[in-house]
Amino acid sequence: MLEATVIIGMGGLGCPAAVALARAGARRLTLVDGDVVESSNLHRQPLYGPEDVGRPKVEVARERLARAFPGLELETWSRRIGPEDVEPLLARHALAIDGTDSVAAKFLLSDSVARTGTPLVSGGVLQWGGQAMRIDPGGACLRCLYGTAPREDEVPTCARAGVLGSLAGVLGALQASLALGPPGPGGQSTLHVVDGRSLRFRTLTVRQVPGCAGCGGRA
Amino acid sequence: MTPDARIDITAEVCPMTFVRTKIALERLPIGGVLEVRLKGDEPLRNVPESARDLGHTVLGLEQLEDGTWRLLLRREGPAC
Amino acid sequence: MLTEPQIQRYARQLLLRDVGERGQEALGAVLVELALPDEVAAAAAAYLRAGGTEVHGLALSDAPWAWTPPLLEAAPQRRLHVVAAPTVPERAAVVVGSDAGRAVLWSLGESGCRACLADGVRGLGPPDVGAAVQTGSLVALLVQRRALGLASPIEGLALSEGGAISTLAARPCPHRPPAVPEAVLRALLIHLASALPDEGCAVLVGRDDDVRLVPVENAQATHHARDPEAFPRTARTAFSLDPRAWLGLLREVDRTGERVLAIAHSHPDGGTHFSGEDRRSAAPDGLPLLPGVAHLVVAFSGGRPGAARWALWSDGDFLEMDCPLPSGS
Repeated sequence: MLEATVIIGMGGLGCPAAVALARAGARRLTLVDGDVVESSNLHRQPLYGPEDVGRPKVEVARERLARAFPGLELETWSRRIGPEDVEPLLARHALAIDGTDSVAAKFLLSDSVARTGTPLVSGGVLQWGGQAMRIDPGGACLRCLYGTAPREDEVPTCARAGVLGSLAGVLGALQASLALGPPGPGGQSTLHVVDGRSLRFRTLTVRQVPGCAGCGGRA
Repeated sequence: MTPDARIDITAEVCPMTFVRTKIALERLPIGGVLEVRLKGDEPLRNVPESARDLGHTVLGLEQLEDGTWRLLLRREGPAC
Repeated sequence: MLTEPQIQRYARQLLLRDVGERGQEALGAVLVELALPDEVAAAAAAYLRAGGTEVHGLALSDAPWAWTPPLLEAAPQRRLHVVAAPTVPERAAVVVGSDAGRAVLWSLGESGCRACLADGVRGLGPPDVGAAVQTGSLVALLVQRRALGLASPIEGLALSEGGAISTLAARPCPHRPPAVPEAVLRALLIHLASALPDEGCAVLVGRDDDVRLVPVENAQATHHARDPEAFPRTARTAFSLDPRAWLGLLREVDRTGERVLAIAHSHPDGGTHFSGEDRRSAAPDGLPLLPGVAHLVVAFSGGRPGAARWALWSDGDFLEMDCPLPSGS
């Protein structure tokens, strides 16, 4: 049974991931998010309602989850975590879920897997699609997949910043499934790609890059 | 050129800047011209490019005396 | 037109090319009737409502979701029914079930074929609530695709242990009659009329978009004259494709790569019903002689074509459906 999982980012991915993990019997969840609920979040973050606008997300999430899952132990961090927080946070959890929405945060988390020994389920959703990948110690990381991190301003302009709420649900639930499943075989990770527009779902094997700056890679 | 519709997004932040622009464009008939008043670096970078992304045409972009910008867009195609 | 609160609420969705103001209004125009196990329904309802679609049929259990009602300007006009296998009513648009440990979802689009949906959901057990969040999210996705007009005629998904999602291939619909161009239909009617007062017959061959008429002689008169005991009916009430012509045609389509799409015949003064006799000829031992070939019956009355119907073999019987005739026929 899953012990002590930390969900970093309680937005479109974190909400469904938290519910799915709780339903699957997770006993302890740590929820991390420094943001307050905004009106434009509501279409894809169904733990929050219009009456919650302005309140810290993790507070609202804690209330909803505690009521629905009485045996669940919840710890909440209502702040944006910095690089110095990441490793200690991951080190004291059995698994981490990436619910962040910034490239920098995703790579920071990915880089911490090898250093802390804590598996991470990375994920992202945009427009009609998304990706999820479980990164285990000894498995391929985001740098093995992408090479270097894309610059923050290489990411989509606001025209391409639309996102379909139900897709976020699909991706977050997928992240939870990967968290509940077994670790991958060493030396590689499986990238799940979801396209809700063409309704296509693929998996790709990502191999560790020897000497990778993120995970060390196999020799 | 007299636009068919005008919007002022100088008080908006991304992504609402483009949300307003997109809706205004969708409400025009094909070939209609929209004037967008905007200000700030981010809208200046994002709005024209986002419009082009969807297939619309940038007819012009000029800076006005008060520092805001006047963007002219033509709505193209039904698929926007 | 959307109101200001709606624009604020749905801003990030409005940015999608396939949504925009019109798409958001389309999401709001549908009312989803959910008949699913509570936990799956809770997740589906949460995402549908969040996205701007109202949902009915949910027992208000203590779900963790926010239950935010959608912001709507007008009451929804169309109902869309989401049901759980194995009970699948005629009006179901989305069906959720399970098969050998996998969750299975089927969604029927606007132009979808009900018989194909029935094929897909046959044998499905009730939905499992294990992966309720995933299943519910996928229900919402399929419904939204349909509401936005992006769905294929039929879409199927399967969800395996460990979270892997896959699409289920839908076969080309065998329950649809071929699309016959008006000019070909007119030519068919002329040919059939020329056989009156006897039944006339013809074959339609071609490829998907390219259908042509092959008029054939009704050989029933010849058979009856030769052997009235084996062939008691005359050409007035029965038809038989001339064997030589039929064989020749089969060889020809083999060469050209076309297919036999349909066999048409007329009822000189009967209805369009694919009669018992017609059925016995087409499926003598309860199995179609020509699976995949549609049958077309044209009823004549007073020497003029009145109406026409298709009969298509599906799952043990012939399904009948109307064939509109060109005006002024």
